[in-house]
Amino acid sequence: MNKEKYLHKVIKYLSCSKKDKKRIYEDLSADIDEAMENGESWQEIEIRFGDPKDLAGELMENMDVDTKSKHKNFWIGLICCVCIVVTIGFLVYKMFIPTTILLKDSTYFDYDEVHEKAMEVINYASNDDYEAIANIGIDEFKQDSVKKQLKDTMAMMKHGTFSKISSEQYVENSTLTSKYAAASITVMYEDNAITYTLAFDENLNLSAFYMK
Amino acid sequence: MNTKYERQLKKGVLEMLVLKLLSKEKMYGFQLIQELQACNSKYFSLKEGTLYPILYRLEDDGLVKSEKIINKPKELAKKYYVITDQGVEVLKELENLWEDFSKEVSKIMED
Repeated sequence: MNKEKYLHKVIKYLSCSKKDKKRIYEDLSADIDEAMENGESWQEIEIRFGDPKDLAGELMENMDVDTKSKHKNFWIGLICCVCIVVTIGFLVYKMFIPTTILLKDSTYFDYDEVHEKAMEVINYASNDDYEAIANIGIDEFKQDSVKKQLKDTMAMMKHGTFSKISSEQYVENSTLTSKYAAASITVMYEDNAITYTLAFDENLNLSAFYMK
Repeated sequence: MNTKYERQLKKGVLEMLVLKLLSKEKMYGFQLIQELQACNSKYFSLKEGTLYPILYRLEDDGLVKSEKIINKPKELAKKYYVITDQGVEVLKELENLWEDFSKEVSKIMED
């Protein structure tokens, strides 16, 4: 190993400021030059200096670099990073993955109001009144293409006269940024049964309507 | 001899010895190492790994400063370490402290 390679190895093993690395490099380099001028060969100097890793370790030890404190700071930093990642993960989870509770347990929606609104929709659907459904829906429902889709779907579902509601379930779905009330209602008709899945936004506007 | 305790005892003295040598004349690193070697000291022959961190501490504390000097034409500039006025003052204080300190230590150890 020549002088340059040796010095670069020493610098590589140092964990100190750039300023200290620069002056160590300069001083060791000048030291070696001076020793060679005094008749010492590079091989002799290399043996005297010892392994680059050991010389770097000796320099670090004498520079009072507080390795315990550095390790402590590293662990504190790592724990902070983990906490930040966990918090961000939790917020992202809350933002995009909805949590579901029974509507009766909701502190935001009034069960009776949602139930009344749902019954209104079922009434319109049972009478194939797609215009009325579109009118109580959010703006997207009022688009002609959506109205046509509603009309076609309802025309396909020939169900006959309303008989009874066989089951109904209400839940609240919420993310960090939004809440909505959802209802799953199965209606028995003269000819068949249809399960409606409805969703209402925070202002109780119909935001989703599915028939099965 | 337990090297750990030997190292601790030496640690507080080395700065004072380096300042003392520099108070006689400005020196470059290798020269300081040679000077101490010439003293034939059993405990205070410094290696590069010990000397330079001491010089950097003294420099950072303003007790020595480094100067690049060209002694002969066509010769590369050498980095000399020079004691500052503040360094001279601190050396005086350390010498007094050392005198008292060594007296007291000797006294306790003799008892």
